[in-house]
Amino acid sequence: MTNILEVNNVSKFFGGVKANEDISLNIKQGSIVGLIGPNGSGKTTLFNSIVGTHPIDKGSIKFEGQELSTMLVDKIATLGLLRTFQQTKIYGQMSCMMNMKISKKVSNDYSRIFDKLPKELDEEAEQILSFVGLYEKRNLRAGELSFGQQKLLELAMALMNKPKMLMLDEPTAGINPTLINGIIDRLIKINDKYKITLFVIEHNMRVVMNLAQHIFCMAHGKMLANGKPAEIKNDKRVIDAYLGAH
Amino acid sequence: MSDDKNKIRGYGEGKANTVISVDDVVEKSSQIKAKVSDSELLKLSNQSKFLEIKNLVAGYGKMEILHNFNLTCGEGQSLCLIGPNGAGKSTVLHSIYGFTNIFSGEITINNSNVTKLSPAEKLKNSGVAYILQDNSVFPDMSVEENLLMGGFIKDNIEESRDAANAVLKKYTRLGERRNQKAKVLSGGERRLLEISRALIMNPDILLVDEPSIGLEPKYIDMVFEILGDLQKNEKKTILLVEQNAKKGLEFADIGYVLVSGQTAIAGRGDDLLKNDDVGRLFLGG
Repeated sequence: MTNILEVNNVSKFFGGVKANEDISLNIKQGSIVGLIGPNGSGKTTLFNSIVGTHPIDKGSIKFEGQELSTMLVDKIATLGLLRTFQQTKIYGQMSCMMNMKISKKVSNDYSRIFDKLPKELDEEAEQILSFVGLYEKRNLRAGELSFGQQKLLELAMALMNKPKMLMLDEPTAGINPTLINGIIDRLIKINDKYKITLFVIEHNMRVVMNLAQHIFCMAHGKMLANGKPAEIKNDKRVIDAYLGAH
Repeated sequence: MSDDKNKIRGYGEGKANTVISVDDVVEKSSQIKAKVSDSELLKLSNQSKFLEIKNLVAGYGKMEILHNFNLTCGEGQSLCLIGPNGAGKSTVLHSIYGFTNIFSGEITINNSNVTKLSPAEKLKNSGVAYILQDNSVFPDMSVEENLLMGGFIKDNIEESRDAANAVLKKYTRLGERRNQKAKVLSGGERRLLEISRALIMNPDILLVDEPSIGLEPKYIDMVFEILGDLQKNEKKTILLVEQNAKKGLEFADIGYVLVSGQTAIAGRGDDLLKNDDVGRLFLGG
């Protein structure tokens, strides 16, 4: 299988802080990959580097063979690479449907940004909302949803653009265990049905173990270990740095 | 308490095969829901009414989230609220602290009615402190300054200083970093700072909203150890909301399962962990 994402020797410094140091990883097309590591180990920085939020200091990031590190953010977004955030980023005063519809990038032509939203978007948005289990709430203001439901809405908004690869930053933080199972199930279906590659930051090991086929673990800005879930779970370095003694 | 081997570590483990929609959870739990009587609640709190919520109807704006909600907790006890997202768990804590619109009902602490008091009055006079769910340290202030902010409402800053010194002495991890900016702290240290900042006012009751959210596994155990120490050794009454429900129920003396703004099940934390219905509907199987 080909690699959809190739990160080679990437470093990112903030002043004297080495947030990412010499990070390399490959992600196979169609796979589900987990990224774990202590708070502050540089996971979110790596996500930001990949989607072009900030320039990197060293290294190369390739998505489907194209170099991203020299590309502008708006260009990267059109390649089919999308991310979600730890804190939900939704428009609280708008209805869920409106949130969905404005998430779809219809055209790159700036003169058309005031155009009416096409009608077909309604059906598409409703389908995806029912897929994540929010159909009943579609006309509520997004700000009235609970935190967990807002997370689901954010996931649904990302799906509106049919990305090739989705990067999720702690999709289950603050969500109750029953709903977490639902999210894991949905993510596996997204991967299977829409053939979307998933790259997921998660602290909840129950989620990572049941979701990911391969796991990378970072610590202090460096790549500490990588392997299959069972290997990672028993890796002494990972236990010491992250999981805590068993 | 179970022995160390069986303890739930971090977020716990296990399969994730039980997939139930939230609507189904609500429906099924309303089937198993027995009317939780006041006498049952009193039995759980050992007949104490140190903190009592009676027939509370509360919400935000015009929206009603809690419908006739009751709660009793004894002094020095810990009580954990679990349940689906949107059930109203945080709203209970918000109501006790004074962040919500209370339409009817009563909240009493040690027999004095605090229903209408503002958060500042509660913090200052009623011995209640609230620890937020979101990251709430001031990143550009030092650890010590963050602690002093916990006593902003005190008239005498020296009192805050004494309290801060006591905290820094007790939690050496913070003491070693007293002059460093809070933004350089690790996630676990930040949570410790948030908890200990609430201690500056020497509250009797700690309201803790999702102590484990966003924390790496090994710090989750640490945070619960800290809360356990505050309950046992400093006799704090602790009310917490926790999505990491297994860990929360293992910690707490009393557990309430909230569904749609009402208590569906109440019991001892240990008993709820063993309850099949609770496991299937609320703990992820």
